[in-house]
Amino acid sequence: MAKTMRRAFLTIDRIGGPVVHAVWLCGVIASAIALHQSQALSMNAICGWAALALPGLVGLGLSSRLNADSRRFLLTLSWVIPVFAATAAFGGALSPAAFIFLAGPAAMAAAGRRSAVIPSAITNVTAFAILGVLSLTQISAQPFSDHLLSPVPALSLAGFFAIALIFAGLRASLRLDRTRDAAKALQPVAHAFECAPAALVACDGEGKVIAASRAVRALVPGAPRNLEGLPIEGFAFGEEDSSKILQGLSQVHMSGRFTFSVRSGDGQRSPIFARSAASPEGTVLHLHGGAPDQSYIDSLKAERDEAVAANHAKSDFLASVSHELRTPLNAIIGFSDVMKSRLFGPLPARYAEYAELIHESGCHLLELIGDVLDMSKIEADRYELTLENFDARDVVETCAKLVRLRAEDKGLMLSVDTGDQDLIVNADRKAVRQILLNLLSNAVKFTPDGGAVAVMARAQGDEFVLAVGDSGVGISADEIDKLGQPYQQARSAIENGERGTGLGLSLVRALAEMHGGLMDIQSERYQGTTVTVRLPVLSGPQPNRRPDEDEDTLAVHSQIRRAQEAGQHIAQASAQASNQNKTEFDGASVVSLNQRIAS
Amino acid sequence: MKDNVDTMLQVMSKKVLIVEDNELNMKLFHDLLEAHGYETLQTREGLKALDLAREHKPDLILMDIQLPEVSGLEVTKWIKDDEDLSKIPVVAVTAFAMKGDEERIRKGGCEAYLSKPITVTSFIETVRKFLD
Repeated sequence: MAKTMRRAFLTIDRIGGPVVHAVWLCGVIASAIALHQSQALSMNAICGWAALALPGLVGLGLSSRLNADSRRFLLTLSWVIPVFAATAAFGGALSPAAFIFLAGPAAMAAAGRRSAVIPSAITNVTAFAILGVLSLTQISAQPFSDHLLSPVPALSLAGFFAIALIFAGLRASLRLDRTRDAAKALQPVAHAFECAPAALVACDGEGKVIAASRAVRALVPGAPRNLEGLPIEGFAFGEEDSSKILQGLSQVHMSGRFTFSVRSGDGQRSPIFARSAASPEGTVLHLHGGAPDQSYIDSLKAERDEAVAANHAKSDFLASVSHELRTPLNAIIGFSDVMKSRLFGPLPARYAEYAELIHESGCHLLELIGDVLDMSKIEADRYELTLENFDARDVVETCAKLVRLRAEDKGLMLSVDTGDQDLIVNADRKAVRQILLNLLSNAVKFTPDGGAVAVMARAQGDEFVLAVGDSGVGISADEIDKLGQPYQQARSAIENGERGTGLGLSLVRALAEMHGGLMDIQSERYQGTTVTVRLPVLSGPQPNRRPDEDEDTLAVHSQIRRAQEAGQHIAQASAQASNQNKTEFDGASVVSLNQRIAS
Repeated sequence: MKDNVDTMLQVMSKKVLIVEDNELNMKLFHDLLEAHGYETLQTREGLKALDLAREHKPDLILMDIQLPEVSGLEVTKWIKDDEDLSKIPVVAVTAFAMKGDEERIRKGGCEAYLSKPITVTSFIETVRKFLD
């Protein structure tokens, strides 16, 4: 239905202009011929009729290539100038010829939009007024005043007006139908808003209500049935609440939430919570009352219980996962341990190496499982620290030893700097070890071949500072915030094809925080990452502690840079070595290069 | 002379009852014990473990905690409640290795606790502690 209507409108839009202008042209030509037959026309009269024919020609001949505005301008002009001249010639403003002034607006109405009719009408009225004044002030000769009264021109003019009127009428009625259809199409949306099971209010930019759902009346007792056009702050209980509403509306892009009070049914103050969202017209508010009913409270309680149960289920699940993984690991680690210890006699060297590798991988897997488990314990607040005094340098050296093999396999330069003084700390040894191992294995994992990893341990003030830096892929600034949250991995890590549990850094952070310390990540994409952990766990007097505070953290960076340069040399050297002797090159030569550069 | 031989035989053939439901782990423990000269009895069920203990009076019981029907802790309780068996040391060898598990298991009557995965050295050390 709407489609047919649209097609009809388009047809009328297209043919309206040409048809009325053609009718005008035919009328003018027919009138001129008829007059010429009854009385020979003078040259002046012919010029007058020719001028009248002009708007018809212009209207038919205007190229559609011109834009709408210039077409409208040309058409208006072509209607007013010849008509002015012709009317002056045919009888002046006060003669029947004045009707011709109506032809322009009529043609515009039939051919174009309403916006084109008004300028045309104004121009023509102005022209008519000028002509009228001229007619009054100077008595001019009006030689052709009878022309328009003869039958053919009169009938032609009447016919033209009739056809223009028909087109204008069709246009108007089609436009009306279209508007009505559009309004009908919007009705379901309006109904949906009105009947929404939530108190919704749409306001314009000045805070006047555009529409409100029925539920608003239940929330704001005494609100009128039709809220349209009323200021929204009229809901408020008092002055203060009005300003809260206005402030809330103005901050729609920032917080999107505010509260205010309304007068309840018994005249009491009743709190309303509003959530707001911006709309093209202004703001849409979702209001809800402060006293939720029992069913709502019950549903919230149920949700909470469910969440608690889910949390327990998660802990139980992780615990049973741990159990199920440890069981086969017992066989893997146990049997390879038996082979390693040659319990049943000697083993060929290669098999012995494989046994070592199986044992090592098994132990690594065990560490990962430990991480998962520890995180679950930390999340359940069930992790307890066992504090003891120990030299942190031992832990650093042990951990570095554990990752050194992996680092050297990748051709990474691993440098360890624990200073020249004892680092006695009072901390959970296992936790410190876990912090370091996680940081080191991350650094090794995310640093491409030929890069560098550096670890430093120092006493600063009363803090034990651990810094692990690498020349790896780095982390972008917006991802740093996300890191350290359980199960989050940086995109760079995923791009790099490296997968982990996403637990490493969150575990480091959690363990550091349990010691009352902090973890800090400094990183730049493709430049490298330094993770610094500060633990206030130094134990006993620290002899000759240096006063300069920031020096050491900075030193880590320069050390990494040095190590990185060394790493590049190694990479180049290994590339050369592999070119020179492809068959003999192996990890060992990288290691020896490593040592050479380190020394 | 005869007494001496008897003592020697007794030392040689100290019996260890392994209660373990995972075949590979059973094999691992069996092989380890055998390599160190111990005799083994094996079962994967808690109820059978009690029968075997009554019948053979082993010198040590290695007890897995998570078992198909009755838990290892339950079996340990029965053993400790049984006058004839209560003297036999029970070593829990379990994959329950979270904090608190060891305490819970020791409270359940086990004389020692080994978490899986085991290391060969500590396993043998623990066994020796009870048998030598």
